[in-house]
Amino acid sequence: MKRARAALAVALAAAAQALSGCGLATLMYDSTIGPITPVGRIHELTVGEDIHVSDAGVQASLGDTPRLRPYPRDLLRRLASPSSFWFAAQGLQAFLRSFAPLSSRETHVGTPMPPDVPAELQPGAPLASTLALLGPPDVWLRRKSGSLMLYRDASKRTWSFYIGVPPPVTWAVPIPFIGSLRFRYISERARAEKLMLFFDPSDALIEARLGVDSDVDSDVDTGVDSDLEPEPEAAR
Amino acid sequence: MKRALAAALVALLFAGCTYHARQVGDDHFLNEPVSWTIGTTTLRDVVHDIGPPDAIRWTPKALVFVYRAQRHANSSLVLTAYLNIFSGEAQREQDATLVAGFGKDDVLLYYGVSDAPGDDLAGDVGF
Repeated sequence: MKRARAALAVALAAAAQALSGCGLATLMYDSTIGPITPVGRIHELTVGEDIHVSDAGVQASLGDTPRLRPYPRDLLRRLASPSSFWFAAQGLQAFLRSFAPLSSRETHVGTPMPPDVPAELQPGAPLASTLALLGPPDVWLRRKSGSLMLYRDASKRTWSFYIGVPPPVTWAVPIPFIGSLRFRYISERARAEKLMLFFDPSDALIEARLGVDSDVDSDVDTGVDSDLEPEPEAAR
Repeated sequence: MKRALAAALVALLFAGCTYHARQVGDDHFLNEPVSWTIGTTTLRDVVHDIGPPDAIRWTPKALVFVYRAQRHANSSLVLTAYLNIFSGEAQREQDATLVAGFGKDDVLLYYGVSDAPGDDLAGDVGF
């Protein structure tokens, strides 16, 4: 009886190690052969590098170094991960979201814009009071003929659904084609609210203009080429 | 039971398929009636018409405002058995851009507009 229990424990430990992608499976296969094994697959989280946590979950890169090793690299650092509650919350959220057949997420970057131009931003308001009210702008074009300031609040809304096998099953259950039994739809929408301020040569506000539902994507264009640009005439 | 069966059939029919659509920005600037005149229209007129720009570029000759909307669609079919046995992917990226350049005294020097990206599912999946 004891022998059977010990054998079962050893078998479970071996299976867990094989599924984790390190240990035996990693020793048997190098990157030139690839993660081909009927007992599991080499997983980038156990043998990869640059491990980090984002809102997409725990991520790592397989890199181009050989994976022939008896234990994962950076073992001590990995044991200490995630290194903060923020990363832990992100990882947990991504894990739970990966199981959810329907999920929605919204992220904001920047200061939320008011629905209307603030009452303090009347024509003639000094530049200093504007900075005190709104903080530093995203773009500040300083010119002798009059300055321009641009404030921006970017947001991204994502929703997705899947029908079929949950995504985590792909790496947790070693059954051929099980990861393919799924249809997935993902929709992303990125947009930005913007506020543009015009100042005259004496740094008095001429006009404040709020963006009309205008959108932008942070990964396409930051839009900042001219922050604190020197006076064009002087630059020439 | 019937619903579960229907879901399973749909999953089987589209097994391994993923459709990812991303819309970046708003192409409202393409729909605004643009009645600008080179040498007369000012920077503030443009902002009045279509709002603040998405990007600002400065060159010694002109201050350039860029308005941009982008649509990206990615449809894929991947069959996995430890390795990707079959992998097919169709990607489509469309940009709509308006650029307006301003010279001295913030007067319009030039502007140009591209076409609006279409919401075309058949084109996205490669048909």
